[in-house]
Amino acid sequence: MNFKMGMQKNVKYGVFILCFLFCVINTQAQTDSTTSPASINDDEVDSLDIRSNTLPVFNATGGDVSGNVAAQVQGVNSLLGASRDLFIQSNIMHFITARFRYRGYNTNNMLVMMNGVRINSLETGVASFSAFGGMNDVIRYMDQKTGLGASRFGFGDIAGYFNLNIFASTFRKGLRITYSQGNRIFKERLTLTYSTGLTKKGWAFSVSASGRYAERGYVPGTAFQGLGLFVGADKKFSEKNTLSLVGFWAPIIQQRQSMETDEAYGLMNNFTPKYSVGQQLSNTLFGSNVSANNHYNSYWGYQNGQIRSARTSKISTPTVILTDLWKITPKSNLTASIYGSQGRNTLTYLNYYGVPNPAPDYYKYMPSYYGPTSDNANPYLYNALTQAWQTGGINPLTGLQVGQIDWDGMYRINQNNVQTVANVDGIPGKTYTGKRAAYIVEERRQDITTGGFNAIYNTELKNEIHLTGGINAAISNTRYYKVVNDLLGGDYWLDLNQLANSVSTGSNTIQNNINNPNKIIRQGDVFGYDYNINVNREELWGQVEKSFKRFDVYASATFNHTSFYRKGNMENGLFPYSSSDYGLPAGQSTSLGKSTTLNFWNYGVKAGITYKINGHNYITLNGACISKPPLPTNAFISPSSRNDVIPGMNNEQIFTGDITYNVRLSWLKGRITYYITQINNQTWLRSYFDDDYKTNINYFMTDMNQLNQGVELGLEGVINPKISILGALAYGQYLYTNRPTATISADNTAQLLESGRTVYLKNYHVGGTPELASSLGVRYNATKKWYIGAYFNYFANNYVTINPDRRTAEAVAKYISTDPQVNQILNQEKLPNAYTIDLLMGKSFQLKNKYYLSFNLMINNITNNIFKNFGEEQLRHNINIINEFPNKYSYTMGLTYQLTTSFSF
Amino acid sequence: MKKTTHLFLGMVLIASMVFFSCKKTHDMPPVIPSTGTLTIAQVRALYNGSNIKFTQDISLYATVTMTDGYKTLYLRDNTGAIMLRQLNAHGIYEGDSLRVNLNGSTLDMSGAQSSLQIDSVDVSSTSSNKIIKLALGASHPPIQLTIAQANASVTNTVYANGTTLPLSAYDGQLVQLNGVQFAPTATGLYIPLNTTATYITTLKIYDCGAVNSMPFSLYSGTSDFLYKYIPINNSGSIIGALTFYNGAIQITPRSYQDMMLNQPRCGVDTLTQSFAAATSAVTGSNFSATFPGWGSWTTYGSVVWAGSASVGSPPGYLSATNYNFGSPQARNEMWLVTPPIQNNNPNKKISFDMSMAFQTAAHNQQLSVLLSTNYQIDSMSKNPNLGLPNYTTSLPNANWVDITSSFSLNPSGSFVNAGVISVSSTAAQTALSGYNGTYYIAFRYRASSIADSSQTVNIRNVSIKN
Repeated sequence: MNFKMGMQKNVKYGVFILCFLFCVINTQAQTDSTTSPASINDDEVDSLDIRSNTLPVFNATGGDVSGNVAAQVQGVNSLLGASRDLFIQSNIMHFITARFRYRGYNTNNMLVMMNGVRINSLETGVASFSAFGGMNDVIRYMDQKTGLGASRFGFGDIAGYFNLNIFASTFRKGLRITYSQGNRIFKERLTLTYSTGLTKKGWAFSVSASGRYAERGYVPGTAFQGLGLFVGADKKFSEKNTLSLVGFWAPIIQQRQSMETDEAYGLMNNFTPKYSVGQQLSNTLFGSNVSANNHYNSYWGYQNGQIRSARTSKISTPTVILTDLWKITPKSNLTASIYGSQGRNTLTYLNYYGVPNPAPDYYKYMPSYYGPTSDNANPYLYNALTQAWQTGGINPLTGLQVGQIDWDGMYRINQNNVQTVANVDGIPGKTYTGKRAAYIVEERRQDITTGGFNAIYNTELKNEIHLTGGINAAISNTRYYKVVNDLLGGDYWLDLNQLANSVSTGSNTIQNNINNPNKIIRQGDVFGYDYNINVNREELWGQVEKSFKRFDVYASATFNHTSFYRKGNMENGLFPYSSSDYGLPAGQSTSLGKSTTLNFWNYGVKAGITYKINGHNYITLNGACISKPPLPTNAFISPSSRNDVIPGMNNEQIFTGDITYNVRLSWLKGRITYYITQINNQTWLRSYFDDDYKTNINYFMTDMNQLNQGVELGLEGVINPKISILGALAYGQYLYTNRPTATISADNTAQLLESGRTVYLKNYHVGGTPELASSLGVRYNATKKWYIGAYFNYFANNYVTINPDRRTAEAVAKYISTDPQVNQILNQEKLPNAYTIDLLMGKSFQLKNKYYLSFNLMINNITNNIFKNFGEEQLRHNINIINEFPNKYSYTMGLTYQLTTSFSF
Repeated sequence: MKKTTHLFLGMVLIASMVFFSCKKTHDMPPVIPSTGTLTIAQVRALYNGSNIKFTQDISLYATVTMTDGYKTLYLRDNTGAIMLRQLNAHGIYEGDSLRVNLNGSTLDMSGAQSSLQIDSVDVSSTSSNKIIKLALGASHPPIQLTIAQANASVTNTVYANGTTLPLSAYDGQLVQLNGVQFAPTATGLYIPLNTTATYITTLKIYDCGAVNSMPFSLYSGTSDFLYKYIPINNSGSIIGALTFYNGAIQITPRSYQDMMLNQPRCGVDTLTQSFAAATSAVTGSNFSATFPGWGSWTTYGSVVWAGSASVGSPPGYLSATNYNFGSPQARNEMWLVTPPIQNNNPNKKISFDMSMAFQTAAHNQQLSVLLSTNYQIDSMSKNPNLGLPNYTTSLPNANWVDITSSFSLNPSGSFVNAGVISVSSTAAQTALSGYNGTYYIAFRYRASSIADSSQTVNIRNVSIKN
């Protein structure tokens, strides 16, 4: 009796703690002041941006938002869902709706491995989870750690590591069929996986195939098609030696979603047809054909009655890994791998020459640009554009439809644009007459070839000392170029650089390739730019662990070297020099040939100690000091036009530590962690199109520091054997901590526009993720293998990502402290706090002791609460008209569901 | 277990306290602290006869009361108003509350003996823009004013360097002039974009008594008055900005819609005109300019009432005669028409002095006194001989009631008062009964084309009183 009373008391304590913390923190979040919205940019150059800024999850969220900084959110659901960390489980399930980023880190701080092979991109530092999309069945088994800690697979990174074990011999023997149906990114998914297990002859085979499809995703214009193919074969030669070969390929075709301003969302809201309640529910669950509410997507338009997107990505990077597992002694083993991958990623864009911008949401096509209080006030255009937006009419400035892409209009213009080109291919007198395409769809390609080797040695020594060491090397070569995807009814495209017109209209200056001037470009031809980025990386690392009665300690170190260079394959008219030319003055920009090779030597040390209070309570303390090279994607001022590198680049310096208390009791499991990470000397590069300068502007900083710190809490409290309470809380603060200096360049001139501009960035939020994310749920586990759970999730302190140039003396130079514009320019908008409610339920059956059938239903955001989950300040801003370039946002999906049925034996 | 619980709770509370108490204010770039500030009155007071160039950051806070939609603004604060000239055309609108950084601009006059203005203010789309909009849609009602009040406010300051600056408390202000109308001679198009159009390029507006007048400023290009006809048959209010030009205060209407001339032409309550200024220099062509509101017209022939006294030796009087105009005498019919008189008192008294000469037995009375309630000036036609509108179609088309018999017309050559007659006692009583508009009194001299119709009639000291 006393024990029971004690138990009840402790349960009450636990529940009290959970609720107290949950409420207090969320209340604290509500007291933060809301700052005023402000404005910026347009037409940012959306390079094929593989940078991901969230934990990779192929889940229900509005993840595939194509913004320039936000980029895509991709990943693997079960990757993190398989984690035993309560905090991570909640993160995956419930936090992704709000685009939560673990500890505010970019995902290039998470090491991802497959069979011990590092798969993070050498250029972006991010693991492309789309490379194994759809392979949920084979990536269930992993070693994972979040944050700092010992790792026997690699040095790791500040966000932790995942090592996916995809050895065929480790998969459960049998067949598994999984069918999912939902209304998120894909509507249907079918996966078949068969594994032989390890046969008597020492062979193991595993194959998995999946297909995912959505004619239209949750958001209009986001169709999705994906395949996932996995083949694995292991041969166990002896108890000491196993050879494993895996190959996987996951091609994806996906249409992207745009980010829009409040004005654009509002105008398209007015275009929403009125549906009955039943139709609204149906639309919510199964989508509809009409662009409506806060999921306006400007990337698509109707062509012959069908939705066609101008922003379609294709990813295809087949990969092969050959691994030898050698158990040298019972206490030592060596894992060695060689691997290679070759594939292509593409993303389409509209391009145009000599005609108005075809982007429906171009800032000069918004009614506010001509509003009665605007500098460009024009009552006729204001009224005409407002009406056109609200009724799907014609833009009087372009003759094309507003709101969505007018494919028919572009075809019409191209087909009536007969022109004669003189001096074709630079041959005097050679002409060509045909329908010159004023609008095209271009396909920006990255042909990626990577390869490398990896070796890890583990050995158990006396006195409970464990040694791990590893060596790896990798090489990556990516060719960046673009081709014409569709001439839209035209006969040819002329390969001229319209950004060069503002410099000179000389016949050579405007050539993208002076060695093939006035080139007639047909569908599939290369044009515009063509260059390669080559990266090499080598690493040597080691770790020692020792266990004591009350302590476990570890220490590890890494030394690595990264080198990269650009090699231009086209000599353009703005920078008509090759690196192989003799007698060039020092610092002369070259577009053709090899750039300087940049070399970075880096190190990392980390150590940790775990104190075992008793069998149920542990305290862990970790610390690390790591240096990282700048990413090659951030190293060149304008890689599409020249070899110039960003001046003043340095290694990033990271100082990080965390302290964790773990508890594992029969009635309470969980952890609470405080972490702090200082990241210094980051290189930051963004590009955008400025139609005043009529060129792409590149804005970079090389000494940007930030401090991420916070508290994490993951708890599971058992009320009784059937009912448990689960809670997770992440409360962080991610702030810039210094005043970096900015440099501004333009694509059409080697002369810097600005240099040494101080950016007053200190204590601004990094933004792009809610700094507070919490989840509190109740789960009921019935005896007959069914469960149901409900979760309330709350998100707060989600700040928009800022435009650093608005935090400079130049941005406020004309104002005095009492002008209201000062706060409008400087304040950082905080998105409204929000909540969601999720339901999970499932039932499994065992049939004839052999067959397993399960049903799992996940319903996210059951109240259909659609809120802003990401916002960014545009990089372009007008110091006189503060609201000319307002913030852009993306919204969560509303009510979404996924029903998964699995059958295995 | 208790220890575990306490430890856990302790860590939670410590973490909460340490972390939740951490609030940080974001960095700020250096922002110019509030600069020196001047009011409009203080800016005006700086002027010393020479242009002043501002070379420091000085703020002027004001509301835009009117723009010409191009480069001219009219600003107001609670100390006064002033005109502002932009270097470039830019989006600044009525109701905008501004902070103007005067650095780089000049305080000068818009012309000789013209308004003080803040000149050459940069409003470009670059960082050198000196205008900061603080708010939109500020209330800016016009000041209610009459022409007389505006004219009475004018003074002049002569500086040591000889520059004369006209001053008025209403210079640069947005005003509403009430009870105004155009002179009957105003006709044609508003805006002169070229010199071949048939329009009048100079205009005045008058009060109801036509005693006080003010030049009406026209501006081209951005005005919406283009080719609008002046509603000379109406009176009402005009909203616009008052400025000086060549020493005279003038009104520039804000827009065509702000010319709210939607009432019938207004009449005077009382009228007194001695015609002492009617020297021989006063002819039909300058008659209305000399005697604002009065008309000297012809409905037949070309002779009109004119001044009689020798130039330089007033007092004069008006005289109508057919003498010495051909043999036999040409037929002439001359009309002297008063300004409109408001019928707000049925017992208004009409009085005038007259004399006659050279009457004959056959034509001993060629003067008639008439009253009309529906006389309208025809603005469309012109008298090519005199450069005046031809009113032959409107004068005779109006209904005139002959009230001559109510007066004692003096047959002698000396001026005698013809009587102080109440309009209600005349034959016009019926027409005036229940009528709230205006009426005109006309003195018509009708001369036939036969011999001996050469009587001379002289009039002076016309008055209409309550």
